[in-house]
Amino acid sequence: MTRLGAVVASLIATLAIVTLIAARSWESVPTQPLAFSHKVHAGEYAIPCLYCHVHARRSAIAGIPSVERCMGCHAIMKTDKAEVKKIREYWDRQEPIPWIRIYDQPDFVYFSHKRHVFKEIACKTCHGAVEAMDRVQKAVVLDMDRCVACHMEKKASIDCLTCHQ
Amino acid sequence: MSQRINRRNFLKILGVGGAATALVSCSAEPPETLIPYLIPPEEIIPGVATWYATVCRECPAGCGMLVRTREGRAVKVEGNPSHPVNRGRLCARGQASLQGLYNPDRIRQPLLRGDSGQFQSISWEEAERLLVERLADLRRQGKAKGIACVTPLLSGSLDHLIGTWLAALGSKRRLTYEAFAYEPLKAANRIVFGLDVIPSYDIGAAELLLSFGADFLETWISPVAYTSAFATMRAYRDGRVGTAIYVGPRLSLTAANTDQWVRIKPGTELYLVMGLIHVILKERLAPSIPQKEAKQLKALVKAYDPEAVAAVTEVPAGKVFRLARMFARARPGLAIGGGVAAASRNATATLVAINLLNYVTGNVGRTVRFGPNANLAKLATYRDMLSLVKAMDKGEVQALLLYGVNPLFTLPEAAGFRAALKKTPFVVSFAPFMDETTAEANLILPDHTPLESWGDYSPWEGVHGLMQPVMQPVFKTKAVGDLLLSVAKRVDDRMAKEFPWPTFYEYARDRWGELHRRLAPMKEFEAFWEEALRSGGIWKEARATPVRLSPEVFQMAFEPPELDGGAAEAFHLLPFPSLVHYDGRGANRPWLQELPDPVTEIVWDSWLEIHPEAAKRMGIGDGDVIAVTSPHGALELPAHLHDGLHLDTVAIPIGQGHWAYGRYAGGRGANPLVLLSPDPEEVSGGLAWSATKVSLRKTGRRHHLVTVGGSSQQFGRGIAQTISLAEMTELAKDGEGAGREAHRPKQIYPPHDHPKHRWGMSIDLNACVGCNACVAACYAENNIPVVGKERVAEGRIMSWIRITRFVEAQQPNRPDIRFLPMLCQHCDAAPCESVCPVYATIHTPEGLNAQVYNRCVGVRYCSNNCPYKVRRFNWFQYAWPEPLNWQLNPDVTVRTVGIMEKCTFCVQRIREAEDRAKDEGRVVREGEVTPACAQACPARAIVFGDLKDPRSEVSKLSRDSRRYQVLEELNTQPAVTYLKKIRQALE
Amino acid sequence: MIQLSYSQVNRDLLKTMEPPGKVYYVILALDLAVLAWGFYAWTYQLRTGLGVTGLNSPVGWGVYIATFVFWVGIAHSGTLISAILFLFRCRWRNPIYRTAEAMTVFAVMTAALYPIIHLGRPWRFYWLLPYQQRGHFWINFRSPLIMDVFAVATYFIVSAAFFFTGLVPDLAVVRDKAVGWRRKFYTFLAQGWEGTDREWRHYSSAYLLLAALATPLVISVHSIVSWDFALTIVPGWHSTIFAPYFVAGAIHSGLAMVLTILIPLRRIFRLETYITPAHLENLAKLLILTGLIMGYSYGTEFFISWYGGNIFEQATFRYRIVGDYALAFWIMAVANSVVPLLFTVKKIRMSVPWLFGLSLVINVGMWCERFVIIIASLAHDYIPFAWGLYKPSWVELSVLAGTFAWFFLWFLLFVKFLPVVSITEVKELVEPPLKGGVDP
Repeated sequence: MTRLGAVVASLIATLAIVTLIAARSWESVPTQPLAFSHKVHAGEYAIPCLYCHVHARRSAIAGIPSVERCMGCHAIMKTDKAEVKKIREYWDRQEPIPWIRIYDQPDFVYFSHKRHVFKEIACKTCHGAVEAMDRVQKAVVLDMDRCVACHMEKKASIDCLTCHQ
Repeated sequence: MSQRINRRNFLKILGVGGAATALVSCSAEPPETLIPYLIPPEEIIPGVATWYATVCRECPAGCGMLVRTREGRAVKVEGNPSHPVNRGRLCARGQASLQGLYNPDRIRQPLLRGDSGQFQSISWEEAERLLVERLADLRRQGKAKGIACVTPLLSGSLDHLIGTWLAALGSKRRLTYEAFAYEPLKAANRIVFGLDVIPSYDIGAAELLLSFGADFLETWISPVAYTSAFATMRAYRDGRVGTAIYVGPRLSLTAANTDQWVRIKPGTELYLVMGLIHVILKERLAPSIPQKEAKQLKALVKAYDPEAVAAVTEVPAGKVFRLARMFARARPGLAIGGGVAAASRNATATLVAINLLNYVTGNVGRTVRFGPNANLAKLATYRDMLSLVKAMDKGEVQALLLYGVNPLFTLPEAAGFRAALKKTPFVVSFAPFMDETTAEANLILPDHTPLESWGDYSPWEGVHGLMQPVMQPVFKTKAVGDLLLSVAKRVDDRMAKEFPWPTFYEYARDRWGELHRRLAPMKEFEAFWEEALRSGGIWKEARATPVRLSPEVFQMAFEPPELDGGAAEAFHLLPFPSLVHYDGRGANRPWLQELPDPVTEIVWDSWLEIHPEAAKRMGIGDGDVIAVTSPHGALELPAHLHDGLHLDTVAIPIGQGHWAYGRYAGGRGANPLVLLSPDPEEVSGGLAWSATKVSLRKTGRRHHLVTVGGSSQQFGRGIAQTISLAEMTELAKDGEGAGREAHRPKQIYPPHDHPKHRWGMSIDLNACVGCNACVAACYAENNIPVVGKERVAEGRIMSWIRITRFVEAQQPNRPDIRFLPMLCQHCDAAPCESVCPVYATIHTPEGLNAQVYNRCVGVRYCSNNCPYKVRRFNWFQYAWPEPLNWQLNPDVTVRTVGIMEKCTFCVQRIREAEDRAKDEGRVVREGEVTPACAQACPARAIVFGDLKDPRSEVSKLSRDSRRYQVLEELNTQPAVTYLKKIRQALE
Repeated sequence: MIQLSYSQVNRDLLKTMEPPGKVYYVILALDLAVLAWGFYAWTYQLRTGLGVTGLNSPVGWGVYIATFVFWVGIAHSGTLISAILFLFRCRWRNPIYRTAEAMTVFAVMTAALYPIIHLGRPWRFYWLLPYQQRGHFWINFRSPLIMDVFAVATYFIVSAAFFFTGLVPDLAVVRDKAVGWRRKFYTFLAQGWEGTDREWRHYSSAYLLLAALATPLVISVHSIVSWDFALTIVPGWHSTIFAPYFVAGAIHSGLAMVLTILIPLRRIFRLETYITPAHLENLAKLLILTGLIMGYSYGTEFFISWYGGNIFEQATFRYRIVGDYALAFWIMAVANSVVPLLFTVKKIRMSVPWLFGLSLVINVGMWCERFVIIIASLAHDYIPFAWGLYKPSWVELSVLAGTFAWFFLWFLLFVKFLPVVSITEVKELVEPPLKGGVDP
């Protein structure tokens, strides 16, 4: 009996640990190829999101700023900074910067940034207070509960085909 | 040229869009990386489609195409609405051009045949060097005229470049070769009217169309154009519909769509035509043609009185009279021929007679117009190919350059091309795929596919289509034009001077400069060029030239065809071009392989068609493997019993039987050309396709021919309905909306209300010819997996729309084959919805029957309860071999194993239109949404729109007097309305 | 009245629970082997997708669902015998009801496997349960499948409770005899039963209540299962006769299965004194009745399809008789409605071998009925062009074998861990010992 008990207990323990680890890794903040700070850009300098994420108002995909756009400023600004130098290196190598994705949706979800920008839904509603983050991390759980709740509250369509097609 | 720089970046940026298509699965994936642009291209917004206009090069018809690209990848092709040939429509082969572009069996870099005989990949640098050296040597040794080049039908820049390039090298051996070259057609026009051309046929204007073995709905000259013209001709207007009669030994898809099929003894079409002329002249039914000519003609057709004709053709004399009178009465009529079916040893004579028939009935200049003429007339004849083969045999050819042709497969085996090829010291192929001929080459310099290349193509006078690359090359290939130019630069200085252009792009622009000076001198060039790029080319009316009978015709000798093969060969062999594989080039496209042959419903295979009676005589059953032997060769094929055949004819589709054409084409059936006699037809020098007799022998083995569909009978269930012309005119009296509304019995549940739209569709069965274009389009648009022969046999084909084919009790000469495109009916009272335990399929406010993939648990209850059986279940996890997966439409979820899927009315297109409308603060306009099937349909049979709007075309049609809904009595209240096929009784 | 003393009854009936011999272990091993094989087949199906089955379009349901209906049917007669006959005071049921009730519980446990096995995405089975799901989802109560979930679950809970309640006094008896860990085990199960008058009073009223509760379920459950078919528009399914027709069929098959199980049982454990030919005969008589109902239902189905003049229905029933599945149809027709009539002959009814053989035949027949109804209707429905054929694959057959093994595994455990004949209720049939009387 006691042996059995021990086995069961240890099983439960390991299970708990595993789940904890899983949860952690999901929460963890990825390290980006270069330490770009939204806090500096969006916060201190108050550069509007759409200045860099240009496609958000024209397309379903918000878009990641091109290296060219980074260079647009950093060809002259803060060129001495180590991280800025990294951009310059990428530019010289004519190589795009492989950013790590933070927010992702399953591929059966069709979310249009454009529609939400037009409806003047603030970016932070779904992306959190990015302007306060040095390293961006998932601040909001974007699951269907949240989408549907907001859609119902805002009287937006909750027809399945709105997001799944 | 910022545009070009951007294109170069495409492959770098694919990460953004590439993410959009993966599998429905909630598993946590490893962190994805976001690859931004280096330099954002102006005309590309990620997530928004960009369209490019180009020309379809899957067959010589040269239809205009618009290519939809997403994040730099071509994902869908559609007809170019402004192109005069296809007017926005496209056939299945055109749709499948994408699977040419992304074919996993493409040659990925230059290959050189080593001493071992195996190909080894080499760098472009080296490949070019080898070619240049070889050519330069030949030039130095003065053997340049030993350089021969075979290309398919080209026109415009590339045509001109190859010509001048060869000339500069010092060779005149240049052939433009197509398997189906219409030599007799050309010859007949020379003989009768003194014009060596292929005229345009106005099928749309004809009141009575008489086709002598011309399969104009399938492969003949310009199928898409003719299909839509045919639809126009068949359309009901003030009490009349056009009549079509097909004369030939086999009931082809084209024949199946006519009112009457005249089953004729193979090779005797000539006699029937002469008989018709005989009657028409004798009964003075001909309009005023010059007395002298009339007399001469009378003399010509003297011997062909109906009785005599009946004796030879097995067409009863009475019918000959009736046909003659009907045709003479038609204002105007149109007689056409020159298909493979009538390409016997007297093919030219037959076509001469057909020309005369059109002439005496005054159709020439009305439905037969000389101008605009088809560029097909530029093709080399089969005889020219033979002389090339002879030359190769004699060792006169030192270097053979093959571009876009596969003669080893498309020439009769007995023509001896294989041996001749062995005797040729240096064979270069520019083919983008490995094929039979290329496999024998010494050096392979893979070309771009047309979708990756600059170029231009002109199928008819006055139609100048412009081709532009729609994306970066998928592999390390090189456009043949660029290659020739850079070779020219390296052969020697004189040639380098002759060809100063850095790339073929500049060359083409210069050529278009000339066009510009000729056509629009007042416009400045850039504008002209941009305009051409945008609209896919430029078109101008070509005037028809009046013609007169040339005296040559009266020297014409009309002889009975002597067939190849003696008494032993009991059967007359009729090889026919396959609807989807054409001359065999379509066989490596999985979509085309999975499309069922519309007449037999067979997939992924080739077969021997034999008449049931003949089969009974020989004890042959469906699926028995038969050894077919002719004096020239032998092959084995499974038999398929088909009563749409002349009794002593057997038919074999052309296009299968490849042995070196990639994974999809390999090991499927046999190539009938091994059986054919190599001797050309005397007068025209064309290949006598149907002039060979064969003998059959049972091998005792069996082969499973897989067909889609259970029973082709209706058992009085009124699924595919028809209406007689008489009833039609009765109803028409009451005017539009005479058709009874779908009756609405009492409901327990309140009907759905549709606040904004209710999307609906109407399908005109009178227009539908069963060509499968809609099916192919659906595969392309909706990421539908190809499952392969075995799975189809298990009843697991995934096509969302399919052509159901019903054969009514069939009198010998009156085919009643009915085609009915069956797709999700988006019922208002959908049986599938109420039974789904998890609301995975539900009715949307816009009247769609939504299938929510990520909610589906896969109980398959909906499919059981669907009376139309249009739902498809993912029995396996289907995969797309790289790079076929590049074609996946990012706007459509790729379904995962264990869930149900079905037609969505292309909801992604609806959403796109609604999105656009929202941006512009308006509602979606009529005609703004077109599902892939409706968009493709060459016959314009499918109409889509908003049933809420009473003025929309679809709601008008839903009230049409021909309206009906399939299984209406079940009160599922479908959103799809069918229009009955119009039946007319001919004696 | 059985001429026995209480202690004799205890001894006889507890004998079944004595440590088993070799044969038992061999059978157990075989059973486990089959179960393992079935499990392997199922995991293969999980990995590859339902394509490994013979299912296709149009036949979306096959032997899985057919066997689901079959087992749910089997479940019924258990409750019939234990509850309904109890309410009708049919004392003859006492010795046999325990086995029947056990069969009910295990049958439901088996049946419940199929709906999950046949799912395209079994790992999502819990989406069929009624709870507030992520993304504001709910389940569709209009779908008969959801009704199934409720019906089967309810039926399992009630019949399990009923089964256990009936066991308690016997468990106490076992407890008093048992030693070692078994004693702990049975002490727990017996729930501290002392056998006081008060306990007996509560017990019998509880038992009565549960019986009353279980009785309507016999009707409701299989009616609901039949709606899986009756509520669709598939020709051959869409029919108002289905509910009574299925209930009758269920009881029919159930009774047959009871015979199939009882006969070997009484042979092996020498229970002839308790389970007498009279019991078997009564079951046989019931089978005549249900068999007649089946025959009538079949007749009605065909009459309606002819009289209704619906060409789709007519085609479907023509197809059943002469079509690809005609064999299954004729087996069903003969085995279910003709064979039971043999029991009108007293000789056959009294002969144990005959009873056993025929009960097997009827079981097969009832399985065929479900097969015919489901597959033959789906294979040929409205659009002839969409017609198809279905043939179960080796995977399906293996999984089936596995699930049968699963059922018999429970039964094998049952016979060794619990008294297969109700001691308490058998004692009710025994003359109470006279005051001061001595045990022989």
